[in-house]
Amino acid sequence: MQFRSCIFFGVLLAPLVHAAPDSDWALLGKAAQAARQQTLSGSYLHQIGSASETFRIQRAVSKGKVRERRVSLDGLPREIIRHGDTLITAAPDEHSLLAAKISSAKLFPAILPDDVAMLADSYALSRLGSDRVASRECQWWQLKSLEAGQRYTQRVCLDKTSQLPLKWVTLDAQQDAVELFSFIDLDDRAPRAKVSVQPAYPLSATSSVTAVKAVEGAESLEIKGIPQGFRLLRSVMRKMPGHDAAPLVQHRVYSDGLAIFSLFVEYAKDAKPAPHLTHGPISVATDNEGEYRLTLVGDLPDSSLQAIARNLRLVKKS
Amino acid sequence: MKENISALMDDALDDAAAHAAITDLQADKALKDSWDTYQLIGDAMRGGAALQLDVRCEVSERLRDEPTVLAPVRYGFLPARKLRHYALAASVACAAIVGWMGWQQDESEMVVAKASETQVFSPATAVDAPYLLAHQEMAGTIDGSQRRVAYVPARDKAVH
Repeated sequence: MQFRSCIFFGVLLAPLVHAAPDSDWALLGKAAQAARQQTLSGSYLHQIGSASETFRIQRAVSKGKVRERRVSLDGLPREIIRHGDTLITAAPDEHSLLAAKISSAKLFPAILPDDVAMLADSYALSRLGSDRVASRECQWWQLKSLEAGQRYTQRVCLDKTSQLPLKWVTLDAQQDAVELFSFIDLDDRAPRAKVSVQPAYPLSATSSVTAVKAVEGAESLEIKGIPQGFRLLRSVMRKMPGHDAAPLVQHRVYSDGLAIFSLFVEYAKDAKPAPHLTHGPISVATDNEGEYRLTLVGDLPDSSLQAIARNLRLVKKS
Repeated sequence: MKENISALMDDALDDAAAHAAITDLQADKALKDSWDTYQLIGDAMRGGAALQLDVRCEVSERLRDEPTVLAPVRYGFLPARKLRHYALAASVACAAIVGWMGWQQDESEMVVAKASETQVFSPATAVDAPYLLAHQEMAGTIDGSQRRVAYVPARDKAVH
């Protein structure tokens, strides 16, 4: 009887033993805030597989409004500017502008979501060892998928004083790094000069600033089978880049707080060839559902994205 | 005869021939030396894991034959002419080493430069992959409240 009681209470308490204490999640929340709001200037490395590039970043905060400018130091010239809640990508030519848009998908060190509590539904948080990055002492933390192999493992080294993320590594199931961000040098004092939020490149007299074209529209289809932990961030009817004349495509974006995937729904006859390549941690999966083609693109392991694509169902709204 | 020793090493002799070769080896010191040399070469080519050269007996014998010198060696000063020659030789050697190191460094820098040329991200892949580009454009708007704008370059056509 006593043995049975031990097992009963053991099963009940097991999740509590494994779960990270609230203080750990609170610390991660501070890290998310520092990553978006802390004044800083420095440079960082971004590595995907064997490819790498560096950026210089400057950030100042005035009356709660962030003025941030990051400039690529390698390859095509690009600028990514944050002014309050506006994000501007700028480049001297069309080709470089594409690269700027790709670079703006993840804005290190701001990779954690504002609401880190949502991560607890999908990830286990654990504390690892100490390290030194950009001449600063930091503490490693790991976010590992609760369902083995469903998501990449994320490791972040937080500055021991400010909790600013200094290094971020995305690991696959073999514990190989598929993506890495790391500060090379960092100064967390306010930049000496005012951070300019004006792009350095001249604008077209006619086009000026153009918003990304995304047409909010009525959707006649309901999506079922989205895995637990993922929430819908945005849903738009949009034109695909480089296919202005083609019919609109339903584009839905889901996230669990760290992993983000896009779902494109369109008539199979209109579908464009899906890319075979992957971009670092980003995988691509396609599946046909009746007369529709589903295309999924996201930073999830390939097998995981394929499984999501197979499980999705489309239901016509009445 | 040495051909047989070589064939014995390669395990290319039949039993009778191998037996004969081993008998010859035991009888002939020159052949035994050749066998040792071949073994040494073989070990070296296999990576030196089993590289062994047993010279303990020879060294002991030589040491035993060496005379014991009790008086310290007297080191005198070298003649000035000889010193000049040594200094000149040292200068040439130093210049050669510095030059070689510089040449090696240039080579490594060239390799790094070449590698970096091929490892920069290419947006060309995204042009052919509209789904990837569309995803990347939207992926940054994780908090939903962020407004994203792209500056259209002055001399180029818009591509949104």
